[in-house]
Amino acid sequence: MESLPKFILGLAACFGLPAFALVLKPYAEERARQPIPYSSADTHPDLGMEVDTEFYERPDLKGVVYPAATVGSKSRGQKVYARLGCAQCHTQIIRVSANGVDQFKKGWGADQTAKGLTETRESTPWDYLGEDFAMIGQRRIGPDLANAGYRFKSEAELHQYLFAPKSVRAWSNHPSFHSLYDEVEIEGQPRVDGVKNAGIPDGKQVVPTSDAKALAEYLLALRRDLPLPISISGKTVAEKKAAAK
Amino acid sequence: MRNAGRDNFFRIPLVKFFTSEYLRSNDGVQTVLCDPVFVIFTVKFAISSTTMSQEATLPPRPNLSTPEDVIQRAAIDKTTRLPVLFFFTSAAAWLIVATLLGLLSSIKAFAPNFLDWEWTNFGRTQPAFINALVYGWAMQAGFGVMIWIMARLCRTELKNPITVVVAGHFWNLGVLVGVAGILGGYGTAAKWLEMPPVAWPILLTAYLLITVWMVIMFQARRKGEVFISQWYLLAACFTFPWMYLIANVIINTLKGTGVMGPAIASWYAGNLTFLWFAPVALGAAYYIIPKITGQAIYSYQLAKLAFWTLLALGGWTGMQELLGGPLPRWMPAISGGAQILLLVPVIAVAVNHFNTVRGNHNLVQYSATLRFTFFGAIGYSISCCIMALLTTASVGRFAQFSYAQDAAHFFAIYMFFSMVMFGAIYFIVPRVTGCEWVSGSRIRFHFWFSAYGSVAIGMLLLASGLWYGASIDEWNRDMQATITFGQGFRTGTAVAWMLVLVANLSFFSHLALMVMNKGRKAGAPTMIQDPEPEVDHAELVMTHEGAETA
Repeated sequence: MESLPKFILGLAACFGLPAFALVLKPYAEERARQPIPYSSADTHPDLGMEVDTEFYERPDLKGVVYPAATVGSKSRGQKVYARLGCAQCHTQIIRVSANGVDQFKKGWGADQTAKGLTETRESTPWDYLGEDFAMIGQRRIGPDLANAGYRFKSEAELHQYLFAPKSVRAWSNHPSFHSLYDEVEIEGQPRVDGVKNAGIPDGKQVVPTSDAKALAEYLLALRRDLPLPISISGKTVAEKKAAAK
Repeated sequence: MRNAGRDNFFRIPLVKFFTSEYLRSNDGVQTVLCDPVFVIFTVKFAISSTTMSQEATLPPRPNLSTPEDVIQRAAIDKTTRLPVLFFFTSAAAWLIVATLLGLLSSIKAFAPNFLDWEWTNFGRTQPAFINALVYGWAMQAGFGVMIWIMARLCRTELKNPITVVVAGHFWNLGVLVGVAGILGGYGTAAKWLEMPPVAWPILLTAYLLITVWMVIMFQARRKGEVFISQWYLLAACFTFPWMYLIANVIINTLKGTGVMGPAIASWYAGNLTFLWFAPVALGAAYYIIPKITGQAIYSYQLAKLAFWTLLALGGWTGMQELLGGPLPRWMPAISGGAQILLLVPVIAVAVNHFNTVRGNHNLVQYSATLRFTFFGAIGYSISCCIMALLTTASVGRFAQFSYAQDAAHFFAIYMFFSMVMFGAIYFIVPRVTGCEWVSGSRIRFHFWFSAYGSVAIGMLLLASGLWYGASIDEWNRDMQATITFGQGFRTGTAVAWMLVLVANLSFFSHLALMVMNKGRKAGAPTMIQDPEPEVDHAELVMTHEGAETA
């Protein structure tokens, strides 16, 4: 290690190998990833196996492709989510049960009244397919939002929480996002999308901006609970039979 | 220029042997290592030094310091003066900004209605804080230290200080745009890359313009042994552009990353820690510890081993943050494995540093530089042990996505990197300004408040993270119980941030006095405590006119 070229060569080897194996190649694979069609007997290019129609013949999944193409508003909502810094405190990831209780955590899946028996499917790359940047998040200070769409009963409830979180839960540490909402005078009939219990004087009303609506739409669309052939908790029948043997 | 008073410090035998006269002769370590007889003698001496009594006497070394050396060193310092002081002052200013943002974000974490503006929310102040700390303070302090040490060890003048300062302004512009962009709501969600996409080309260009001079200096170096510090600093010059370019091009330009986005961001954060922060701080520590203690590096072989293992393993770290997530299982696993294997270079460095200071531990009482550097060196071992611990599956399930990760990063950036940088700044600034630090008690104040504050913040984050993660990891525990109990930790963190804020304000004002040429003009280096006996092992300060102020 006495000459600069040799040193740079050593450095390039040290850095190039992980950069290729951990970043460049997996990224290229991620870009080539295809959605999974349900009810298809074709061999899926990514999975390398036949999608088992027996397991997936749920009437609601006929002809569905997972994930469905993202609508424009969803990605706009995600941009709002990113710039507000939601990902600093909220994750969107269900880890496998070896690495945490996420799959059985109360209220983190479709079943909000889970008794510790219902299993939520763990996150797969398909859950974030096509997103510019998956909002897996940096911290889990608030609850996980991978399946937030199941948690909120209505858009109105969500808006109330985003504008005045302490009116919903007094102990909440959630910040209130005033800039997403406009305070307007009520003229005639109050608007139907006005936020309830906003804690502002009579004769006025808090209404969501288009950003708030996009964010709410995004959050309510977060439902990543469909069974997938790749997931451990969504094994194909053939695999389950093989495991049982 | 020796006087009777200075002879007091020859009472310590090791110092007597490696007298500052000898070290001053030829840039210290360089001389020590260039002389094979001396190397053999040093190794023998290092082994026997533990049993040697304090009374042992050794033959005085001849004064090898030629007037040419003194003049050359003064000439080198003269060329590096402007960029080094520019980077140190702007870094210290960004450190104040980062500390304020850190304090604000830690308050917002338990009192969301405090200063209720959109830009003060935790979701913005937290990334703004980490970006100001990493790019504003840490990397700029690193630039200053890199330039100065590289120039001194290569014994070359910095050819074009003005270009470096101009590039430094662009770097500051990039950081300003980035941090303001995050606060203004234009940030992204990528860890440590939250700056709006417009910032990264500015930063990358500025970085290349700053570091290219270090490579040029290295190429123009005086022939002879290349020191481990130089390799560390040179490696840091090259690693950052690669990882920063790859991460930013993929995340901000190509997009469509899906699940690989957060994985690449985590990889980048791990790489920045182990392939930039660690090399720069270790390069500084390998320069400063032998300088102050007057002993050669304990084992050069060990140092080289630690260097290459660090570089070979550092690039694999980071992705363990997505353990159990939607990545192929081998990716977080290999990152976690690399993180644990990194303990090998960490232990090697710790052994090397410990043995280099060995017999001179009392110097930590007096020398500000050594005290900060040694604290930082210990911080390196501690932060890497914590990172390895958080990687294991049994602890990781609680530590993942919790404040414990922040604790590990905070330990690495603050307790390790920043403390070493403080030490280096206390060493370098008197040499480039030609005046001594105003007050030892102020340095002592800075040290203790930084040390207590940073350890307290790190420990509180770690404890709260693990507790919080364990609380969330119970399937039927309500968020209410988790959040209300966590409030206490948050409050404690905010109080500890105030300690760090006070320390950094003191540091900034002290540095400002030095830069404005208001330091002490004469006398021995400023000690943290009045030494008894009077010790002065560091090389004497040279004013840029070339005279010694001893």
